[in-house]
Amino acid sequence: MLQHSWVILLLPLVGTAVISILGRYLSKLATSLVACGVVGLAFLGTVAAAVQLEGLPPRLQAVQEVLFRWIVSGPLHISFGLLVDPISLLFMLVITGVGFLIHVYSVGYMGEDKNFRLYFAYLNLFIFTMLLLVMANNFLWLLVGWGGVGLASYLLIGFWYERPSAVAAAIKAFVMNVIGDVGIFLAIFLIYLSFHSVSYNRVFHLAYTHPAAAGVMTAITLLLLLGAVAKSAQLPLHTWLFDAMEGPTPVSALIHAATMVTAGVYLVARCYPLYHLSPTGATAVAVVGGASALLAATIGTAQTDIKRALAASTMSQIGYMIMAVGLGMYAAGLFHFLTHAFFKALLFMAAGNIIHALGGEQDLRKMGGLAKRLPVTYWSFLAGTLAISGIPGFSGFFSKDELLGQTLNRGHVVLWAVGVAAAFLTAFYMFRMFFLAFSGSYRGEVHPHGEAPRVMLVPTVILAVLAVVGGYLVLPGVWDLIGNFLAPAFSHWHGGAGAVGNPHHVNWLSMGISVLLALAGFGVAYQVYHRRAWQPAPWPFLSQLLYRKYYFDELYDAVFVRPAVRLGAVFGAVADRLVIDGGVMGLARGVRTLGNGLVFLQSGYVRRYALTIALGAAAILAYYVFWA
Amino acid sequence: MQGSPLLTVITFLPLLGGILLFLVPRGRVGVARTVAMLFALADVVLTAYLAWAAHPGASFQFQERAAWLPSFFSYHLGADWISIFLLLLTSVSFLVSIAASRGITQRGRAYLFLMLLAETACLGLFVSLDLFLFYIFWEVMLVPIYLLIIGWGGPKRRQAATKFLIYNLAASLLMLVALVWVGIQNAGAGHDAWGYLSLLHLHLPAAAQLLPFLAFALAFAVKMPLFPFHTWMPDAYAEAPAPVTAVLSGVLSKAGLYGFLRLGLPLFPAAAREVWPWVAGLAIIGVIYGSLIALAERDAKRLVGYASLAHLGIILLGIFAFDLQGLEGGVLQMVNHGVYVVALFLLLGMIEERAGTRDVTALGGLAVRAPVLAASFLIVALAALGLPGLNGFAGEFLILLGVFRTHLWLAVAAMLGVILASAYMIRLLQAAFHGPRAFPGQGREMSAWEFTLMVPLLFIIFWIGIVPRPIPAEVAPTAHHLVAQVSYAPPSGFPGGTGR
Repeated sequence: MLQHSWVILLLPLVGTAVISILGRYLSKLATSLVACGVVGLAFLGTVAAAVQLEGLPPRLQAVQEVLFRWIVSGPLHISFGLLVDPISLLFMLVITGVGFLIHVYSVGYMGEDKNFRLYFAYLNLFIFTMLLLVMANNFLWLLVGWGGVGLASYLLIGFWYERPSAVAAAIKAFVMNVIGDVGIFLAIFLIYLSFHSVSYNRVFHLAYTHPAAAGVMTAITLLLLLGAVAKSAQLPLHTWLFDAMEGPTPVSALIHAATMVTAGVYLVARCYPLYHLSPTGATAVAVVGGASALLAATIGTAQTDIKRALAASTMSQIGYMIMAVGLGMYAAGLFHFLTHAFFKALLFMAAGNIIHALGGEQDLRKMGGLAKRLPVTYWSFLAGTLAISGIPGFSGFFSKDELLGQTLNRGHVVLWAVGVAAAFLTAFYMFRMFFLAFSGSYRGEVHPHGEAPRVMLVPTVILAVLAVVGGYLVLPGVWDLIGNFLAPAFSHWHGGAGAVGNPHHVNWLSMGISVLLALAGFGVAYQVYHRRAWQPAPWPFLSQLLYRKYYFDELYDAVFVRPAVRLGAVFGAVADRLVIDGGVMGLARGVRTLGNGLVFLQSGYVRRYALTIALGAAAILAYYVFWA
Repeated sequence: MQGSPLLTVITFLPLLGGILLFLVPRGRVGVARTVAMLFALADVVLTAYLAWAAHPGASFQFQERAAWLPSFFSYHLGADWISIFLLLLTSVSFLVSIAASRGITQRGRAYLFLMLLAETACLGLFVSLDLFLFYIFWEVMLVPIYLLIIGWGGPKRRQAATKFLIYNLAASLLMLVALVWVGIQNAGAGHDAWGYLSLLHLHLPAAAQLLPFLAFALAFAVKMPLFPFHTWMPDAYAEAPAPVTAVLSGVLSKAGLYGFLRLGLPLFPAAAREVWPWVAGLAIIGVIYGSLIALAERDAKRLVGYASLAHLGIILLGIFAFDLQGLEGGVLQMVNHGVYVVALFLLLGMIEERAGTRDVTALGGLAVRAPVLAASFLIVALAALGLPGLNGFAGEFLILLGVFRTHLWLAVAAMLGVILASAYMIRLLQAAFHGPRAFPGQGREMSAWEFTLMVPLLFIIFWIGIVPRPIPAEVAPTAHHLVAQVSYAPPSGFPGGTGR
């Protein structure tokens, strides 16, 4: 499988093609089988590839294959090629593994939708583009995958395209992601002009043998960061993620929680040799991540829509990962990516079960008392909540603790403080959500259905198990399986030193404080929300500020969107019609007035124009033939 | 006459078909259209053969030459790879546009004759190796388009057509003066006055190049169009029937760019170098200006027209970067732009046919009834906004790389156009297809015929997007040559910004 990894990549594309071309001839069952089947096969292929790769000596654990030449222009050579190494494999496993579970879940969730086939065509397309993103062996095809996941995300956010809110959310996500694409676009130009190549191998090598100016490296890393923040919904390009919740809930689980939004983490991890050369760029990454983690956590405490609250938590958790990779703690960041994929996909799927049972209701204020009615969902959501809150024994505890402990070990006290503060808020808003949904009595109007069908529950339960046990891959002071798995990837090029932390270097202080704060967050949430009726927050200004997400949307709308449209309208109506066109037409009229005797020139008769041209040309010709 | 008459056949076959159309009885528009399509199809086959038979290199191949007025001008045709790709674009665009003209029932034969005449004019322009011949084709082109707008256009067709004609004629009259002057210089050096190949060796003194260059450039700029010479464009695009708008934007706009490539740069290199900041400045203003108007425009055809203004501006930036990648990307993007803009205008025609309006605020929800139409429009719109993996991206990438290398900030400014493109194209897509349904009943799915028309265009969009290599590779020798002719010394100190 390792030598033919293109098969893994191509499988979901085949699924998309089959469903979109033959869709009308396929039953829903056949569509589900094709869509889930190709992703399942891709997962098996990825597992086989992973096993094979583990069998190779560490220095050979980067298998490349070049498939065709994309463009050749002078010295510019860009090929399409794939790279399979531990970093890409980790992502491939999550994309196809968690992706498969979410495909299965979708069969139930989208079962009644009239565009069932289109949905799966899009979902397979997403898997294909996301695999392309992490498997490409050069920056250009990374960008192709990058744009592709943006497209798939756009299509699925706007899937219910008859809803105006979904349409608005979709275009917002698309345009903000294109801003990020442009960052990568420009980074590629700088990379090519500095290293005369866009393939990872050559660029990462030449970055050390033929270093570029420090300013150029900083520009490259900051431009890549621009791409990362747009895709991973980090400050300041995060606003689209909340609106992206307009998409079907399994889409939120797959694209806007587990995989696509972590592409920024992948990008920084993939480019570790470049970030190693630019301390400024790396610091910017870490600061953006830390700030996003904290800011999003505060937003999460005030949301009333269960999916938007989860979106805030996604932004916050990705903030942790971005902070970690910015600080060079790549293994810790990627470990958190893995556990987050489990527990966040789980939380979204559990939320999807609730929404399913309540006939589309997403407002936490209209939930409550669901524990009895949805027992499986209740326990699953609890597992996810415990995991994300960092309660010892659950997966999030291990990854977050690894991350925060290393941050403190490396002396980044401020970022560490930001991280534990966000950890407190995380526990608070998650248990707030949990109590609002499950404890007390039911506050909604619609009569809730029972538990979701089995096709939805089984994937939920599998992820719940993973969310509990997934953390034991790294047992502090004992073993670090993730670190061992990833270590070879960080030895291929320079700059990977310190990427994998020392498992025996446990920071008990950090662990103690973060566990205490998590319990405190739980306690506060218990006090305020357990078995209580919904009550508005005591500080209206603050809660409104948080509920409105610090007014970023309003700000961008007032500063960028509306002025651009207004400027366009003014250009179109005034500048174009009155000034330029009016000027030209005025000139024409002026000429006509001046040359009243030659007015026949503007008769509008084509034959007369033709005659004029011919006569003029003949006269000129004649002049030179006979007199010159 | 020397050589095989392949280019003559390719050029005049449509015209021959157009004349033969009048043998078809008056009422049988369907038959006439079939005949027209067969001739257009034959031309596609012939241009494809041409591309297959051509060998690599910068030289002009398939040359044909017949003395016409000895020592003045001759009937001289020839094609290099720039010409060949534009011939392919022209023949495919015209075939698809003629095939999409089913809605034209009034005076059908005349309409088809004019379309075929326009095709001959465009093809002839791209293979002329004599400046006078070039000029004839250049002017002949105006006549059928003018008549097509006035005869089959929308309510304000008369005004739009007249403006189109006067604008273009006024600009090309200046070109005629310059052309005569250049001919005199060439004749003075003992050559055929307007023989292109001899003109290449004329090497006009740098000081004398500026005025004739400006005269030529004005004609090219109007034809493209380039900001601020574009105001004929929104009206003409809006009023012309959809297939005419398609060729107007897809093919005729390339005539202006081709003029810069074939004449502007090689004949007046010093002047081109001298005025590039002005050209590039206008181009980049056009990119931002056109994009912003497209963001606010309500008429879908005018919207795409302004978008096109922006995209053509980026191509011109690439050409005037005097850089290998910029030039190769420019030619690649000429083909790409042609393909997606033809598809866009034809699809807009289908939308208008269904909804009875082009006002984006009055459209909506078409995807419910017409998912295949929606999917086709989506792919074309994505190509137009430069989604990586589709054809528009490949050209944009090369162009902007070339521009970035030579004039960093211009490329950064052009990126603003890329961002805005995503906003206005997605806005257009959503306005037409998404949201609540704006008009009841209507909005049927694409017919099999309509879909068939889109298939070749969609195929090219994917093909060039995934493997764009052949176009820049074949154009490379010519592009090398052009860069050398403009003898542009790239600024040495990267990253030093623009270097001049």
